[in-house]
Amino acid sequence: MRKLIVEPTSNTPEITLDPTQGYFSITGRSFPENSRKFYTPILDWFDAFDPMHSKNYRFNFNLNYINSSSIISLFELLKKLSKIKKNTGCSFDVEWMHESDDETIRKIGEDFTKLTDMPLTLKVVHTQ
Amino acid sequence: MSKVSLHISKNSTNAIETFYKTAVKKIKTDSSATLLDSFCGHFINQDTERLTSVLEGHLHKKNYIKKHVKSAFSTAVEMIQNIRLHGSRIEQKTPGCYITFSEGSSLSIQTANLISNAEVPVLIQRISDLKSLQNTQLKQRYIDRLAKGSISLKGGAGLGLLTILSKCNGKISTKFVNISNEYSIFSMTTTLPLEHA
Repeated sequence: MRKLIVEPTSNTPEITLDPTQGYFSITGRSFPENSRKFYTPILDWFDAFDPMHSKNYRFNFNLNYINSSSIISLFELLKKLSKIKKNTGCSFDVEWMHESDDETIRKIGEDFTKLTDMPLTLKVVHTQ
Repeated sequence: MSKVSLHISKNSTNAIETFYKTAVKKIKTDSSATLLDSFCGHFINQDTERLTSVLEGHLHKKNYIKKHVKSAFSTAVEMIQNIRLHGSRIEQKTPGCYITFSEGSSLSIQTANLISNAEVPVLIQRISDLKSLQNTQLKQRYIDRLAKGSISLKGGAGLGLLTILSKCNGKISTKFVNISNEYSIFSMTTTLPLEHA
């Protein structure tokens, strides 16, 4: 499976999907006008992803702004990870970063934890 | 292009422009309000990024509380994207307007776009329904919608209005102005807190 890197733009995040290193990340701002169009290649990548049994993968979400339709796409992605975990026996450590005073991003992480069986570790990211 | 469609297009665009000019004039003549930014025209994809970055830059420069800047940014994104996703298109263009102004320790964001007259009662009902909800009920509605998790082909998720209402804590006013047999102007104004850090 090939590594996938999506460069950031002013309204879309940087995405790194590196199966060899067992590391995935989504970083930056996410407010594309059509989040379905933006996230479909990412969801498709995970559809084709063939993880190693019992391997532990790390997924880091470090987003400082997420528009409403991106929230749905990220929720879809987490449900997909949960399904992969169930079907293949691999595991994901999902970290959900938020600034200490960013209640909105923290609450999105809490909502995702409540609505999926993919637990998120909420972590405070320190900014200057 | 037929003469009839040209007539409809010109009339609709003119109606939005008149609405915009009246709104801007009202703000400019109000001594307690300060106009921050305004735009009237055909909305394109890049307008969300362009207009919200102007707003964010302005609020950062004035050293407002970060939480308030983020809320304002977030509300502006959803309101502009609402125009692009739900505003009526005339000859493949989406006419609308966007105005931001401050007044004391609050920020107001106003948008307007065209909607078909058939959509007016549906939207009135939806807004009235959402406005009647308490914060906990609004949150539950948001969670239910999120759990359904569907995005339209245009990219809308049905969470935009819920997000806007929750950000402005219900301080939203809407206006519908009938401009023809086909279209009305739908205007929405949100008011958010804005305090210095």
